[in-house]
Amino acid sequence: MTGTAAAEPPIAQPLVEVVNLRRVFRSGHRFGLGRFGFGQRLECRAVDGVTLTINRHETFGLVGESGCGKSTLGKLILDLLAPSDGRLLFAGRAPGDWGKRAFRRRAQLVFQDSLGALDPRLSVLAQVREPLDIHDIGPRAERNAEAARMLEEVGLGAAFHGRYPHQLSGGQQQRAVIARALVLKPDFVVCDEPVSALDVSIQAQVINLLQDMQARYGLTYLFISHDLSVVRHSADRIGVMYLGRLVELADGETLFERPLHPYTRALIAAVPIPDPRKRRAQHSLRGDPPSPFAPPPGCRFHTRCPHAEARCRDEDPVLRAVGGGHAVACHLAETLAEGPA
Amino acid sequence: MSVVEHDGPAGGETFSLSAARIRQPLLSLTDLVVGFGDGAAAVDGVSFTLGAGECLGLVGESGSGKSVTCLSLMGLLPPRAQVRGGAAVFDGKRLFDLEPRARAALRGREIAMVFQDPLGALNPVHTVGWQIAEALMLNQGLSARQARAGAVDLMARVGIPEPRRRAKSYPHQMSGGMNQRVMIAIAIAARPKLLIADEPTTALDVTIQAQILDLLDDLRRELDMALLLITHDLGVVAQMAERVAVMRHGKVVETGSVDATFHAPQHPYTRALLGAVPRLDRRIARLATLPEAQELRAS
Repeated sequence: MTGTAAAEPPIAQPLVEVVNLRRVFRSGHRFGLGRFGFGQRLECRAVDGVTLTINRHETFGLVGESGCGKSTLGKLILDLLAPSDGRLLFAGRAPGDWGKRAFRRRAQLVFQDSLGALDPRLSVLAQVREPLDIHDIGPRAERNAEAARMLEEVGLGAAFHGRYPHQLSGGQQQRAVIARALVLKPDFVVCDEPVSALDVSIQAQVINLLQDMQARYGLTYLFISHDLSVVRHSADRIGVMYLGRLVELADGETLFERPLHPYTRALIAAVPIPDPRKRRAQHSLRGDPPSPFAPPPGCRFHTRCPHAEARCRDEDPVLRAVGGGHAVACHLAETLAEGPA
Repeated sequence: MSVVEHDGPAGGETFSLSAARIRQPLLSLTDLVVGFGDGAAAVDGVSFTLGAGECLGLVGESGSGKSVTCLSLMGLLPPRAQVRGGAAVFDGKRLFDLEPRARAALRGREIAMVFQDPLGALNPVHTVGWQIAEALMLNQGLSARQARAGAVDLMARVGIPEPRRRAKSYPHQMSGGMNQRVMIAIAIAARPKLLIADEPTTALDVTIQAQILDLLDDLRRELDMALLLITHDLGVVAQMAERVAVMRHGKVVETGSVDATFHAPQHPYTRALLGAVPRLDRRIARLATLPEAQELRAS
């Protein structure tokens, strides 16, 4: 995260490597009614050929709108979902080679819905102790002390140990979830919309906490969010997803100062800036995103793209490097780069 | 801490800027107190005014009382809650003194409301065209045939493509953004003087949010309709509103023009809230936090 930029190692070492990862979901028969003909099973390519690398100690931000496949990608990277195709390496080895338990100990998850993620029947201390029991870490007698230490670090003192999830506020629940994820001392944490359900002031506390924990434990984050402002604040490098594809990839500064993909530009232009002197021009992207069950041919964005040409309707653009660690999947990126943003 | 007012002399009225200075306010709310049962007041002395055609942003975190304030204006408070004090004068009528029947006559015709969750607010067993037509029949006394045609016109007006075909769709067949457009069509069916929008874009994706905000802004100008916009999103307020009232714990802590409130916030809570928002237009090393927020929520 931002505050840890100075602590980054000089050479980027990959921790997570994803090559051409795909995940197809098949619908049940009930979707087959209507315009797709009876009984036909529909395929949703939720993640459709994503290649990316997440380096050690960095925060990789993943942004996109609902249904773009960002959470599915997060689950694939955590081996919570099996990929339909493609390769995933964690610290140079496939999750299968690590073994389930060893992999899970090193790669953890923080969800959006903290109340749903916590066991309603366990006290806060027991929640955080549980991973230590499952992984059989340290002497039993010391596990409570270890859990208490972790809770202290996330700002939940002894007064909270005996409380149950429903007795905590949203921010406190998310702190407990973070403590439970970090008590195993993982290398990698996927944060899937970790602050989306929280009020602004609580959101700021949780973002700062994640930042502090990263600095203290040298963590690598995959930070998934629909909120561009939160991702810009938190991430070192950012990937933008649209309908199962990565359409642009760059470091945060480049992505927001010199976005190349028309979708990235539209996303940035749509964000309301909390400054009345910087009012957004009224030219929003038209229409809804197409259904992931029937993505358009060619470039998937061409149905909403203000610059689409004939080529965009036929040829599917690949993600290609344009220098400086910046990659974009758009036929017209060079032409558009010269014009106004 | 007392209310910070950027405009208006001490003890004066909270409105006194731009349009409101010239025109009589459409709505003036004075010292509203609302409580649930015998409990503490959820809204505790809220006052603001809204001029015709003006947009006021009501901003605050969960539980600050912004929704309860609006529900009391609509006369839609849950049975356990009651208005304990204060006055609301809308277009010369004292809302809290009206008979329920007179209150109901205003609702939908002169004061309309759009909620956060359009799918929950629409009726799942009727087509969206039917639901817009129902509003036209009830509020404007149109015949069924006229209302059906009017519904298609309204759907086109709020930017629904292929309105004739879409009028036959059910809410579950439409996207969240399209359903919110339907809600807005129902709300503006009777050309209300005041539209209350309670977190109208919170459930929507950012590109769809931009479309809906543009639509609300256009409609406000075209219909000269006042807009009371409730949101937790400071960005939305900065983009849409002319004036803003910042609420916390049932009170308005600061009110004024958006420019003054965002560029020279006076109340420490407003300052902290602005410092806590991650920004797209600049990088902040560390977000500001409100130290006592956690404890307050826990108690």
